[in-house]
Amino acid sequence: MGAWSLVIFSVCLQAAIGLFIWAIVIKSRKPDLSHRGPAFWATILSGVAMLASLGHLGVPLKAVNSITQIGSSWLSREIIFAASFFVIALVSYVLERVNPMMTKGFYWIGGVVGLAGVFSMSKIYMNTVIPAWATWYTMVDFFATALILGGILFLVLVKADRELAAEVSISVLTFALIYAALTPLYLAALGAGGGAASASAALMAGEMQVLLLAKWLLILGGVLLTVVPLRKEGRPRAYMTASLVTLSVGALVGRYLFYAAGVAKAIGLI
Amino acid sequence: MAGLGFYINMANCIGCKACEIACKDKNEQPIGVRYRKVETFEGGSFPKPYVFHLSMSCNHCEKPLCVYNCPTGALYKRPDGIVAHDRDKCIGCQYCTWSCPYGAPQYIEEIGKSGKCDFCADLIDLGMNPACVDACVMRALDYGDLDELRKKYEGTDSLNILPSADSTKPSVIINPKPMARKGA
Repeated sequence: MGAWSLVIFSVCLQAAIGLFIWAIVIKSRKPDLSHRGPAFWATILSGVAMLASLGHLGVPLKAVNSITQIGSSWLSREIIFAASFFVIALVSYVLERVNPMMTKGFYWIGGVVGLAGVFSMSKIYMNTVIPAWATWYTMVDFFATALILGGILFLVLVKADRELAAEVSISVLTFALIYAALTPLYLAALGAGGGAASASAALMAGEMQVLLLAKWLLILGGVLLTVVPLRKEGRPRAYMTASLVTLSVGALVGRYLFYAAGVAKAIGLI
Repeated sequence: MAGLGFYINMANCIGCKACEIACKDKNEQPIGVRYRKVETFEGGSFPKPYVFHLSMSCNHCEKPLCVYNCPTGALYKRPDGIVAHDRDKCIGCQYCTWSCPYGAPQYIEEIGKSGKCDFCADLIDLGMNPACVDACVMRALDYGDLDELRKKYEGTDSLNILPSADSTKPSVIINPKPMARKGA
């Protein structure tokens, strides 16, 4: 599977965590909103993510070894948080059916663990000798993916009405615009960097330019798909589903580019 | 004791790759995997062209990012300074290969795990020399406690072709050719 296992792992896990965060935020303001979907889909998505991550390992059967170095390794921490998030999402899903009163606390714990997971995931890449990853932009990228994908996924799952759709879509659009606005800074810094950094910049400006363009067209186009129909009558849900598909493809393309354009520093390439 | 390190006399190295082959043989590395690599750098122009070779393996850094990042504890620093690798614990996540500025840990597809120079720890424990040091026909490689090496040889851990030594503090002393010096 190569890089694709990590692409699927990171995008699915971030989407699941973002979905949880949106569920917490909206549920705290609209307690009556039925929202059984988020816990179920957060469980499925984080489960798929964990399974996909095994595809990256040379020895998947020993995967449990990866949680032994939480004192020093962000990778150990990430796996702990990701696995805990999966368990909390699953428990929340079960509790929603058995004892709905208790789910709120689990959602909050899941949200905090999830955010810690996205933070750890970012730190993994920031602590490498690959300049395209070892930057603040990785943190922006991962949190933006979680909030954008999670937001639209939430809208689709709770069958949002026009008012809720407006509220979430506008926030998501804001996140997407900030994410987009920071991208030129990142690319410029990369281009002005040393050998490995500028090699990554050259890949993104050269043979992988089409992926970079596709990523941003899909992400911005996907977000606009939810914002545009807010102005007129019609079926926002159809637009939201189209938006979710577009955004998911954009996130997958973008994450593939992230891995494909990472060039490590080395002897003679500093 | 500062820990074991390598000394590389670039001025004597002729780029014969005997060290690389000895390492490959001793550690049974498959095609494509080289725990010690000899790289050749050419430049300049007539009438002043230059060429130099750099033989480098794991530098058994004082602050090894690979060890900090390894999620399994497979990579660890021995009391004598060697950055060793416990293959039983390794799960093949490849994070070490993203963590080393010298490209020392390498992923071995055939076994689904990483591998790296362990200073021939088995030979060291028997009081013998690492295979690369014994193989060098120009006596350009030496090893020992870093403090002792510093007393014995002049050199640096910073070259214009090497990533900054500040982040990992490599246990290596290189006697560079003039054109390989930082800033040259």
